Amino acid sequence: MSGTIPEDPADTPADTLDIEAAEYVLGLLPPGPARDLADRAHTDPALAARIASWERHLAPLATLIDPIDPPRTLWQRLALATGTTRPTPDRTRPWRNTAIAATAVAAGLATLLLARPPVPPGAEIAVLTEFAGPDPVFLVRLGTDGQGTIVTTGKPNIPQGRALELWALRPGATVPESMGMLPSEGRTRLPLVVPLGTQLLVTQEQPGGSPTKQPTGPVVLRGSVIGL
Amino acid sequence: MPTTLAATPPDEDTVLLLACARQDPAAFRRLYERQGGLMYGLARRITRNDALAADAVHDALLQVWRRAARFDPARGTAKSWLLALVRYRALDIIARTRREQQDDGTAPEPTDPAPLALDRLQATAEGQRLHRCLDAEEPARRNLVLLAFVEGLTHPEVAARVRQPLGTVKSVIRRVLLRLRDCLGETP
Repeated sequence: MSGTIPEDPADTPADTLDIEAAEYVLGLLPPGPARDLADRAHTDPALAARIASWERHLAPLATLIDPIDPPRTLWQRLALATGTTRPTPDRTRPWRNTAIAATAVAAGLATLLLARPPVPPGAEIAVLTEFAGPDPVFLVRLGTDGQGTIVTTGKPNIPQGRALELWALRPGATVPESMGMLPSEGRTRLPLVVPLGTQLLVTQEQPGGSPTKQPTGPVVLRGSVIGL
Repeated sequence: MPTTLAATPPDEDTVLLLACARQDPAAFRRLYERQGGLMYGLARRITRNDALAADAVHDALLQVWRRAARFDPARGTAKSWLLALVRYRALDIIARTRREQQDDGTAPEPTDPAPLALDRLQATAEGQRLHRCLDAEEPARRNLVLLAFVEGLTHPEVAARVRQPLGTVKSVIRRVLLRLRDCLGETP
């Protein structure tokens, strides 16, 4: 590249429009002008069309970049933000293991499969807390009769028109199972037979529970089943 | 150039994106599995920061989930839409966090990133056309456009990187862009 190339006065309005659109798509414009141009595109279909055209033409340049495994927490954040905690098995993607791990983390759990000493029947409990706070909101005790006793010890945050659903994610599992609905106060008993290390999760769902048999709302409480 | 989009069967990403518009969680997950790595790689290249790159992909995919209905298959592929979303998000983020330091021309260090293997463009029809058009450009000029796209550099940043006057860089890019447009062949 040598010397200065002068602006070409022969540029037509169409040329100018195209250059503006391309500069915007490339990211060459400083933030202010870029915002102005994006605003203009909302009301200028010709400009919007040129932008879309450049996006489409230049998109293959992204293949010059090597994909990188995103951090495991990324899917967790997305799943929580969108309420899409259901994993989809996939055999083709190169970063499958990361994503599956992320699924597990997504439900708020690092599944620990450590060798544990035997626990006497009826001595399994779980303490369900919010992500941010240590205060127990529910205490869960697994009984010897296949029933779990759930005691409300805190003040569950239940938005208007929503209900809390309990889920169990067994060690090594990637899909949680519904265990039933939780009360807003007092205590309840639910059929609950799960091994130590199971993660219990509570999501906000519509009254009566998730219509899809999978969590659809955000995970608000969690805790793992431990032996006393 | 004849547009053949209507005759082309929708690709998997497009199908998934349309399913996301119907709030299908499995489709969203699958889309993440297919394109999350490339989106993150692109955001990482632009932001040069793991956390900011993750933020860019997060924000872009939330937009996808909430506004997938805005995707118009007639105007481009699903993949190009996803990549455009994450690029704009990454550009916004660095505009907020780093642009000031970069605009003074002292940063970033010109770590001429791994030479871009233009041959990779040959993998798709759209890429082949772009490859042919870029190949016709003198490498130093072509590189200005690539720097902007791949690293999200603004005019002053490109100028600092190649140590050329700002006016020259702007002019050269304009000429390259017009030739690219004519070569890509979509002038009305």
